[in-house]
Amino acid sequence: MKIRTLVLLSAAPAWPLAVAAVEQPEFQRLTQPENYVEVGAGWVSDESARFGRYNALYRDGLFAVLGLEYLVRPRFDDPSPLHWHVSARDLGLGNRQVSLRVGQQGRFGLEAGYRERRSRGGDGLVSVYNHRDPANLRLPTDWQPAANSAGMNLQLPVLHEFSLAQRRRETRLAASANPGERWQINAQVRQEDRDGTSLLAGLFGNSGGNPRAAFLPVPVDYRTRLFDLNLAYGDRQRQLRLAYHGSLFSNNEPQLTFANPFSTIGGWATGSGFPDGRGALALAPDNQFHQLSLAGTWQLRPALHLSGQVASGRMTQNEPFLAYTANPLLAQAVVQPLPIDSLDGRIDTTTVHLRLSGRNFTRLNWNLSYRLDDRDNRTELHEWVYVGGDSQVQDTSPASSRRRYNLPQDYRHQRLRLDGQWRLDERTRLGSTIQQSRTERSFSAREQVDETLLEFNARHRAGHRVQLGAQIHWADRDGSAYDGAAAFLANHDPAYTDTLAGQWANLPALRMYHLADRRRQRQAVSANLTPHEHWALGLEAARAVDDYRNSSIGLTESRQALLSTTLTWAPSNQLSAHAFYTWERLASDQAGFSFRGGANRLIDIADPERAWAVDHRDRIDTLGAGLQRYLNDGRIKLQLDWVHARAKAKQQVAAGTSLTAAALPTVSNRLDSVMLRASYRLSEPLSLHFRYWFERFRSDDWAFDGVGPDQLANIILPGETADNYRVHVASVSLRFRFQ
Amino acid sequence: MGRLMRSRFALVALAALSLTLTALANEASVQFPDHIANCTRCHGASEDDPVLAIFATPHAVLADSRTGMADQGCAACHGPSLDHARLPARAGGAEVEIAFHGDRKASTQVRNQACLTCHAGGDMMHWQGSVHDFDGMACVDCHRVHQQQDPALDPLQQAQACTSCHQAQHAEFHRPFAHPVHQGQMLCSDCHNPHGGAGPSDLHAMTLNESCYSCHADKRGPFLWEHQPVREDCTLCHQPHGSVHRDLLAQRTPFLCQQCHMSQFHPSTALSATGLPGASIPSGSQSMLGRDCMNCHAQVHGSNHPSGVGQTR
Repeated sequence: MKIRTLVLLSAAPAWPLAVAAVEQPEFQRLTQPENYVEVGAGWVSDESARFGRYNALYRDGLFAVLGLEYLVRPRFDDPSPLHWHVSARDLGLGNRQVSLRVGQQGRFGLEAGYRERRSRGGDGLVSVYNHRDPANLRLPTDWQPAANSAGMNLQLPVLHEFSLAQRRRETRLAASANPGERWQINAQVRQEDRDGTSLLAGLFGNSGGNPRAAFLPVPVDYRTRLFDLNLAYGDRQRQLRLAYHGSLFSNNEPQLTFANPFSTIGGWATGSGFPDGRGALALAPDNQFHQLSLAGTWQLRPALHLSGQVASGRMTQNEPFLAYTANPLLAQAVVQPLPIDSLDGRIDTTTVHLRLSGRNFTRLNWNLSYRLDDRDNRTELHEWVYVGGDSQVQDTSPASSRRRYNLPQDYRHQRLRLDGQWRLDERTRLGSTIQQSRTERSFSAREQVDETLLEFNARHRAGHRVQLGAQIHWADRDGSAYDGAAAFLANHDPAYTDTLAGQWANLPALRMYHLADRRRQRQAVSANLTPHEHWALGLEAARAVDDYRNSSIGLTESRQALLSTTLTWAPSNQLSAHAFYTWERLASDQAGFSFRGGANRLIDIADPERAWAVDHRDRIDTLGAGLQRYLNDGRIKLQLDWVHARAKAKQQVAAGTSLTAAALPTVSNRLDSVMLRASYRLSEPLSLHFRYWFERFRSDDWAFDGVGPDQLANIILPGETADNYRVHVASVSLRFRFQ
Repeated sequence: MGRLMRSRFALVALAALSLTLTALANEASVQFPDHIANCTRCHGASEDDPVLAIFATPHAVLADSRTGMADQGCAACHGPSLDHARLPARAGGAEVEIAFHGDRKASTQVRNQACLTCHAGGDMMHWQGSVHDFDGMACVDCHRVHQQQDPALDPLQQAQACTSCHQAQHAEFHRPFAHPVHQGQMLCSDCHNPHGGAGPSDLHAMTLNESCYSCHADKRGPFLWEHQPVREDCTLCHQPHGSVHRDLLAQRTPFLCQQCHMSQFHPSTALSATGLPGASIPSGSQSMLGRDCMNCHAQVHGSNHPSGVGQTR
């Protein structure tokens, strides 16, 4: 007996350690970083700008698969754990990114990163301009002008082809430090260079009178620098953060001039058309935004928190103005010069967000919050006499409609909101919200808009297998008297508006939808069911109606309906599957009234048969399924995803007998996408990855189908087409894991 | 006597073997500090209890005095759980004080407090009273602490994690025109702060337009000729998650434009299939085909040209 006791005691040192410790290989398996190098190749079957819009796979042919993850992380008990992380993704594609991080947790961190993203808007577009000088578009030397497209040769090779493609390159540097346990400093500098080509129309003449336009390849050469500096303090009761944010935008191509491909037509000044006529567009001006903010949260009592953020910012823009006209002949005729050389535009912003949040009743949670968004436009108001479309002689007569005043609009939005949530028991919760908001605007059809919102919701959990929810939302918006002519009168000279019957531009009955009286109702129900531990079913249904109850012209009503269901099945860690289906209906009704100007104006608006209406009916169905499976003791991983998305948009047009109208075709888009991913672990460090992706997209759109550059008489179009593609992508790569 | 000698010899040999095994164990195993080892004796690498991966995460960096793990070990989050340590529930004893998953998980408030003890500042500053907080969500509903890669922070998994609840947005991202979230070029968290943002809809930025300008700074202005709704709120015309209509517009143009512009001549014209291409070329309405209103009014986001009245320059 004594010996047995001695035997047990002699062995004692070994067993506690053997149990308390974990075998090194097992520990390493669980904690080693997922470092790898991936090398491979892929293939794209067809060229498609739409397919490659954001994934950079817009060209057919081969591409490289290159990636790297390398994380050096000391063990958890290292006394000075300096970590490194190098990450490189999609190096073989146009969307590539590289980042390097180094730091010591709790002490400091440094980061440098580079990211490149490409977007593709379309290939094979055409313009009448050659691109030798992208900021000054010229016509071919042998260009034959005409009064409209019928007299022009708008065929290749007279036209020049171009692609809508842009590239964003972002460089990022960031640093953080913890000078004390409660303090943290973060700084970040980002620079994004964006270049490429976009598309805009270059107009000559008046848009409503006798316009002529040609689409232009517009050079994009932007640089945006973003600066962020944060100083944060935190203890158990309070956290504070003082922050500066700066955004400096510059455009290396602030203007675009272009030759007029049309011959001078009636109503244009002499010399406005080809060969001497020129136009100019002011492209995005340089601008800046600087903002200081103070954010904090304070635990006033154990169950009472005050949090908020206050920010003061300033937007400025002072790009030198272009002349009223780029046309030399018309420029000589300008008698009233620009009032200033640049806008010196400035908007001071003040934003406040405060929230008092309480949990100090056993069953009641509540929030009281206030939000202010104030934009004080400090830009000065000036008088301008513009030159219409680089084709009109400046008209400085007292009653000129060309005499305009810029409108530095102020905006102020305030919102007060109270949320409450009452827990009847552990399974049932009732919630309600009341919110009042007020929006004030200057130079607006409605100077003040008020909205009251009420919301009720309930949730009930029946055991562990059923969760039910319901929500009712009601909001009512109205405001001060609607004066649809307010901005028009402020924008024009009274000497002109006095000549206009009624002194309004927009039909007085029009109610702009963001200012109009509106009653909004929304109901939603949801259910999450777990009939079996391997199965989960989610159901959601919602319906919303916006009733613009006092709008007889404009948007009068919009409705949304949604049904959504998801099903997941996960019998084990080795196998899972899911499926989803979403049914959406978007409907809106708008009313209009067609009328002419001049002597016909008052005659037309007295004719009820000039009314028209459009009912919009959009239907979207999205369904998909996925499967994930591990085989052969985890050596093989299979993942399959399928999505079918179908959208149809219908416009049903009705018009009075004084007008003519015909039914529009349905616009439709259909997407089918299948992606299969498989990986096979060849050995402990080496795995083989295979990916196959098929996508098909079909669309019909009457605005583009069969509409070539010469379709319209007055507009030289770029030849955009509705998107249709069928693309296969396959790639295979080897991934080598290492420590 | 001989038996006693043999027993003593066996005893010495066993002691020596024990010490040798102990020494070998020290080399072939990972030693945890006592306050952590109390837990890892039972909770290790098994399929049911895969907790050790936490030692590959920032939560277990002992040199960082801010982590509770350094002083309190697992108890920093799970509570002292002394009764559980003496006799665990599986053996008929007590549960851990703060369990985060399973049938006996602690209340949401208790679980979240374990996280908020350290994560109350920074981007989590506005958590209290935020939409997700008020909805009764727990941090661990999205985050996985005992994993090397938290899916909520993984750019390749985040959208899936968010849209598993936000089903309407999941469908919107599949609409024909959408921001490239499904393509992995944007993250939900690029715009939204799920822990409660200072802006509407929990945006990081304090206003919606500030959020849009972070990528579209060319639209910021201020412009000489402003388009008032654009200055005010981008979502008056655009649906940021996805739309049936091009450029993520809320409604098809030219009808969208006509919902606010109804003046004489062409803005008020009843547009229908009568404006579609006819049998001859040229034909069709310049307000309908191509880019419709934008065939002339190219600068709808604002113009800085002195003659840019009507957003045509």
